[in-house]
Amino acid sequence: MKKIILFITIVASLFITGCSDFLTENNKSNPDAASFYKTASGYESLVNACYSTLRDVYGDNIEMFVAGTDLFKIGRAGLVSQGLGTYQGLTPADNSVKSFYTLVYQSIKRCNDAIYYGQLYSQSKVRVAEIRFLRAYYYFQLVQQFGDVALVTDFYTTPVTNFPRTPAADVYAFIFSEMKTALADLPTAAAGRVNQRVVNHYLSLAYLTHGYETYGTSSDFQSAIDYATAAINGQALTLPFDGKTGIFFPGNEKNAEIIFSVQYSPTTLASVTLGNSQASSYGAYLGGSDGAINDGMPYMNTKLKPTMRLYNLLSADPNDKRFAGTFMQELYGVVATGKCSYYSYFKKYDTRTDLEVLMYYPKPGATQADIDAWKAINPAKRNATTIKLPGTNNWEKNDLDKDYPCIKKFSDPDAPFNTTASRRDIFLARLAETYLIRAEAYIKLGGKQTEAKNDINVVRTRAGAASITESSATIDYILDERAREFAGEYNRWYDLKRTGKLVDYVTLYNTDVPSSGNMKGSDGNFKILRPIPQDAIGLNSATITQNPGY
Amino acid sequence: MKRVLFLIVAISIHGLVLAQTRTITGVVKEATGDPIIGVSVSVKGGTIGTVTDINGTYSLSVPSTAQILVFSYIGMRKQEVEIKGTVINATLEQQSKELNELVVIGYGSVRKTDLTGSVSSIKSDEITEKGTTSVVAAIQGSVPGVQIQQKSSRAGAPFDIIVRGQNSVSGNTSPLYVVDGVITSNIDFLNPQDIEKIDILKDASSTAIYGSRGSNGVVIVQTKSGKSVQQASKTSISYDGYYGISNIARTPNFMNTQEWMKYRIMNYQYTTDANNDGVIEFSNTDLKNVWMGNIQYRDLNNGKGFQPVNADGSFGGSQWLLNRYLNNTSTDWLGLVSQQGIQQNHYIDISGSTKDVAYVVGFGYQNEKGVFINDNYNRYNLKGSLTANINSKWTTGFNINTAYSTQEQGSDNSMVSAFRMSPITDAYTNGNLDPTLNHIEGNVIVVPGKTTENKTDANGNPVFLNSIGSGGFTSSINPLIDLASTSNNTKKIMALGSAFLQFSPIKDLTLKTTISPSFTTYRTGLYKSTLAEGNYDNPLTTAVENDAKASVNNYMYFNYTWDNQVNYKFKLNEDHHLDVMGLYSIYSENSELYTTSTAGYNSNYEWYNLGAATNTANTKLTSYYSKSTMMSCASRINYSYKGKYLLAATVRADGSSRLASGHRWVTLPSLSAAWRMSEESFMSSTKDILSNLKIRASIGTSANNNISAYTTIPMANLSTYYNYGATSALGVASGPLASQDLTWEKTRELNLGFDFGFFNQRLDLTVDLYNRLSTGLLQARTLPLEQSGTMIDNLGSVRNQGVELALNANIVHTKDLNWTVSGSFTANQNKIINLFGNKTNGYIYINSSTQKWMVGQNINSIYGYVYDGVWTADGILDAIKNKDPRVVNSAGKIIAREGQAKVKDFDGNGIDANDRRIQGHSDPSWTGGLSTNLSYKGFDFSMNLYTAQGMTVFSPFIEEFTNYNDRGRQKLVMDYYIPAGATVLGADGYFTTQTTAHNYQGRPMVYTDNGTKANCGPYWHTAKETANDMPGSWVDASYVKVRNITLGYTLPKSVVKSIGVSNLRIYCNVLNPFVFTKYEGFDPEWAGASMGRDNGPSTITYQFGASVKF
Repeated sequence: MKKIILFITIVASLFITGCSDFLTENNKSNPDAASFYKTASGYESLVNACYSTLRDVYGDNIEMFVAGTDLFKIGRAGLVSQGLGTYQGLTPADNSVKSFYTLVYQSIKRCNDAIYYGQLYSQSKVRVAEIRFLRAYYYFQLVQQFGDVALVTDFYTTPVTNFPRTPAADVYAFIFSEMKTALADLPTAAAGRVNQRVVNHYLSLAYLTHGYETYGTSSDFQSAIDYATAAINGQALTLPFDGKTGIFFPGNEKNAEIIFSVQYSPTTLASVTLGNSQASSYGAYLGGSDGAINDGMPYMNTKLKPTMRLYNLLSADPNDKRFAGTFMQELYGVVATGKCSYYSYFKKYDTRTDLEVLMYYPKPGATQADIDAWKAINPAKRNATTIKLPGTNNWEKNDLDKDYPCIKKFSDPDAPFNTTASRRDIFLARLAETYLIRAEAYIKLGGKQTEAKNDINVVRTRAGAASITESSATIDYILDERAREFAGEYNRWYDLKRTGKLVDYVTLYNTDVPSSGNMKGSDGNFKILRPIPQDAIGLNSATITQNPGY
Repeated sequence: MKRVLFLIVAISIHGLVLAQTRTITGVVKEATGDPIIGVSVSVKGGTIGTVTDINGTYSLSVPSTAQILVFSYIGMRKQEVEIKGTVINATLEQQSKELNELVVIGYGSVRKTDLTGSVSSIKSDEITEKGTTSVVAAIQGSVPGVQIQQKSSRAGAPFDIIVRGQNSVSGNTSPLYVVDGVITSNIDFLNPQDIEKIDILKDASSTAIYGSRGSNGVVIVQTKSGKSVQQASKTSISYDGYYGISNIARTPNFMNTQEWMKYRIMNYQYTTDANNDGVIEFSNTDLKNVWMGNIQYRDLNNGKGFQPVNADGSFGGSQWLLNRYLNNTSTDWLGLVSQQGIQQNHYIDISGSTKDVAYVVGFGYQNEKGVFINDNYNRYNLKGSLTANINSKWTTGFNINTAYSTQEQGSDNSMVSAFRMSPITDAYTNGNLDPTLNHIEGNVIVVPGKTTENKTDANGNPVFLNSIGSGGFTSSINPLIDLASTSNNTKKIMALGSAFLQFSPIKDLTLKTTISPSFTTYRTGLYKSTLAEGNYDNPLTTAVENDAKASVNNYMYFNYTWDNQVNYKFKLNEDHHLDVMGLYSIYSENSELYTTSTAGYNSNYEWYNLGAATNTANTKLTSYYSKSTMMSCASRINYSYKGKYLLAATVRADGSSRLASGHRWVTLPSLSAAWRMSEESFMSSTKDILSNLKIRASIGTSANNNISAYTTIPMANLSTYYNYGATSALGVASGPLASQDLTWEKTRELNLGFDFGFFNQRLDLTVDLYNRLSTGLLQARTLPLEQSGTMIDNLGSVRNQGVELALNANIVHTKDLNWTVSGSFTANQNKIINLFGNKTNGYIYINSSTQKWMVGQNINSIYGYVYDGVWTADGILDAIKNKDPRVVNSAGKIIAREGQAKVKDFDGNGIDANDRRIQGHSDPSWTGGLSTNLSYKGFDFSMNLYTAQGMTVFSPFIEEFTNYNDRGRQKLVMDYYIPAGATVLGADGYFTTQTTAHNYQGRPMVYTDNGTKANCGPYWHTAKETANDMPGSWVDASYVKVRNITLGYTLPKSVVKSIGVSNLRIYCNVLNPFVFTKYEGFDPEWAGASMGRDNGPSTITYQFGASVKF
């Protein structure tokens, strides 16, 4: 019996020793958030992660900003949401809308984390201000797209299911207050980051947008003018639009006119194909990779196709450099084999007249004499070129390879052959827009035609186009000018919606939407706001009233 | 003194007399008359004993005082014979297998008669006779309540096993495996020939002793390990093995060249409804592309129809393609990448024991060469075990089981692209094909879908026929090239073992400590040369994707369990028997993974020279570490009153490191009882018929901590990428929300069982009814979009209830002829009771695009629109007239066309989300197994059949091979609607116009509608839609399979004895000879597998084998 007791004692003592920590976890491969973000470098990485959300939101979601407008039709079926492009069948189940909604709230969640940890651990005030702006910026996107949206600003450790929609006016109030708070803490300049100029620009745009709304006030337009003036800060548009030194030439992304952009570089991609899709979205399909030679060509996936209206607007003034600056009019390659060397335009820019041209796209209004003159520059290389005339609506109607000119502003000649591989920055705000925002605010304010005209002419003069007179300075004219200046940049849908021209312009100029009836929902309302995604309603225990039209 | 001396002598003599011995000899036979080797023959109450030899004879010197001889042999009824004379022969009878068999219940075993829970057992011969390469496959259909499904056609592919329905929505259904007392994550490494017995613990009272680890059931495997040291036996060597060949069988009915081209041209006809009147107009402009011509086609006015022509009137497309069509020449792509498979399995087992030591050594070799080229699996097993009695109180022993396997999986792409290649394309060049344009490697065409005829234009330049317009059939590279350019190789080592020390200080009290380590490591290497699919592209581009890639994964896993156990058996008087067990156990596991991958790899040394990668920017390294621990205390009491009333109570407490402090510990009680009614006196009159009747009932709770380590700690582990101008700004965001409040997922189970035995166990029937309710399911929960992301939470509950039947009938049992039939039946009903707090029937939770959960329905339900045939020409015009909202939308626009798929509109307001319905589930409604065994003298014949019924699955195979959205890939032979006015292709190669609609309403049309940008309409399957919205790809995958048919012959003992062999059986076996199903794809068992590596053809295997015992 003693032996048994001894045995049990030995065994029992073995159990007890070393037991206290036996069930405690220790993760050797990842740090826990609370202690990691306490350090300055850890917090800096969280701030970087917040900026990185810009890539998530803008990298591949082009349709939320430009589809279903007067400037772009649906390209190849299946690549872009039919609902967003045509309004027919735009429902709460739309995947693009859901994806955008999800990504923006995901970004806001990350910003909330960063603001929480920043305040908890008294991190850099400047960094917290940057993130505060970023969060307010995302709410500005949401309120424009969806109207009333849930205002989520807390850091969470447990699931919450009740997120009622906050009235849009309150969301704007939050945006203004947050941006102004951030403005006080930010430096005037900081390369690539949020700085005072960025905040001033967006405060200006937010006030302008707010001014149109029923809950807007008369002082909104004045505020827009004031913040725009602060953002412009006396800076003129001195860089050329087109050409090797122009603002869009590959390599010139960090130019003085760029206020805010989503930034990319070949060395900061998770993989070579995880750039953005801006470059590939606006062009006729050029063929598979086996059609590329020499300097290569992009994988144009034809998500969206420019309307004839866009081509016509850009060619309205023969001296306007923006048609040539926006579209790839000469497609280089070898006529005999049909193979394409699109990127020669950039890589052999100075000697491009020596190259054989596969396709040539004369601008609307070009005469035979113009085409002959173009051929005469190098007849040997241009006589066999296929000339693709715009016709009345040929370019927007046809859908075969190389049928219409691609937008070249965003091309990345060094990117791999892939639709999401562009490493070019996405310009979200540039100085030309600040001028046009101010011009719009002047017009809306009233009695400021001269100032409005002057601001518009700053943009036109840089493009080589004729100046306009005061009487021409209307909201419609500003929309035309915005189309010319920003073709393909991420603002057209916002512009039409803000100015209340969405239904008119889309039905007038976009043949995908032949009548305003197409834009009406079963409740008889126009689909102006985006639908709140079905999953957002399904997962939310709050009572969510769907937007009109859905 | 003399008297004293005399006394001493007398006593001595008397002693001598007493010690006088006699020699007894005899033969021990079975009832069949066959001698039995190894029967233990001993004197009752003494230590003298021997064993029978190969002829069943023995010779034993027994003291004259000995009165009774005992003959014992495992599996035979012990026999005691009074010693009379010197020749004692014995005939041993088979024990009534069912009743006296020991059933392992975890940390102990009980006789089947004393069992109170629900446990099923399978024995060695049932496993080996099936000839499967996997142990799990051999169980399929043999055990009620255990659903086993093979999810892949590949060599060495694992099986899914679910015990009593899916009780966790997170999808982990894998039971706990215990191999010779060692807990392990799977048993795929075992050689089926090495299995002695498998016990499957099903109900919560049985699994309770394993606590949280047994919530998905427990599979206890005993290998042929050392016999406990009870008797000395001579060394026995046995060999089991077979060699077999496999052929592809039951290939789906794919199109031949003519069928395929007729389908293809339909896809070149764009239709419009320009007048918006529901009448479609066809556009034929692209028909020229059918023959890869870039030339206008024109009517030849020869009465035959029309063809593309050149300006000079000659045929304006590829003559080579046309000839292939006219001759209906089809390339057998599947044949090119497949071969005859080979299977072999050899196992040698050596065992023996002396009085105090028993040992087993086993060696196995298994080889499977798949029916796909480069699909091989090899495995070597080595095992050993030793048990030794140190003295009467101490026993020790160990066993170790090791496996080394190599698996080559070749190229997944080549398999899939071989299925996808259209029959009109060719793998090898010939004089007509242009070597420069087709990038010939040797005589193999690199991109067969862009096959180009050897043609030149007027200037003598080669014509690249398909460069403009619609290009070619497919850009996929030749599967033969991909096959030769890819390797995917895994080497794996597994070792598990245990060592124990047992101490019995007094009778019936044992203290035992066991340490059981288990170790796994593997290396997976992947290499794709520049020619492999995905890498091969335009040789002129320099993008890194076009360079060779190599990667290697190294994984290391170690766990140990340390069990300390106390057992005490006692009886109060003859009526009350108690068996008490106490357990203290700790468990720890850790794993590490190291991955290196490179692109831009300029080495031909597969993954053996990763340093040679020139493009270091694309070299990626990842690694992780994970560790979990668990601590447990458990106790079990088995109580039996008069052997009629049985009670078992178990309680186990588990603490897991994966849960945060405060939620770590769970206590899991269970209780079970049984009543052996047939032992009651009032049943004695029926004993001749109803030889056994037992009623069992149990209730218990099990739990699950099925989450990964560190789930409750918020981590900063999400890498992000950004830059501020030229400054890199890599970031780390925090991962998903982590809840400290996570706790155990619990399953409450009720079980009611009946065991019937009729006619002295000639007929056995076991019936079990169960009801399991799992609550607090641990699962990833999609948070509101506003909160973003997912988190693991304890939410929802699922009920599984079902019935299990097992029947065993020994129909004929004579000396020469024996016939048994056994069957099993399982029906399980799975139902979601609560989802995220919502109990409303019909409440839907969308977890992902392919998974929708609904309260009151099966977890694996298929949910979506209800297919309702095809819009016919008349039907659509009527619908327009009646303003059917399915066809005419609110704006008056016509949104459906003739020939498109139609779905049911239940509420008459047009198709919306409310028109979706549950249309079945992918779990079988019931499964059954039937096996029969017939033996006559030396011959034996057996057959096993398995069926799974009532499964509706989303089939990626059907989705792929009936998908009208592409016109370059192979299709299943199918009938489809062809409207009047469509252009069709005649056998003569001419186009003609379909005058009346081909009014087949089972499948929609093929042509492309420009108005809706869809061809089959939005309710068939298109690339855009998710599995749940593709009614065209939901199929009934129910099946009946004859798993195997075996014919064996055991050579007469007299014959084999002369060559020194005690037993020799040879057999042939056919695996999967017959499958009965409506499913049109490869094999209904993997109907749900994605079109990657796992979805391949079914096979029939012919095996020839032998088992020899020396």
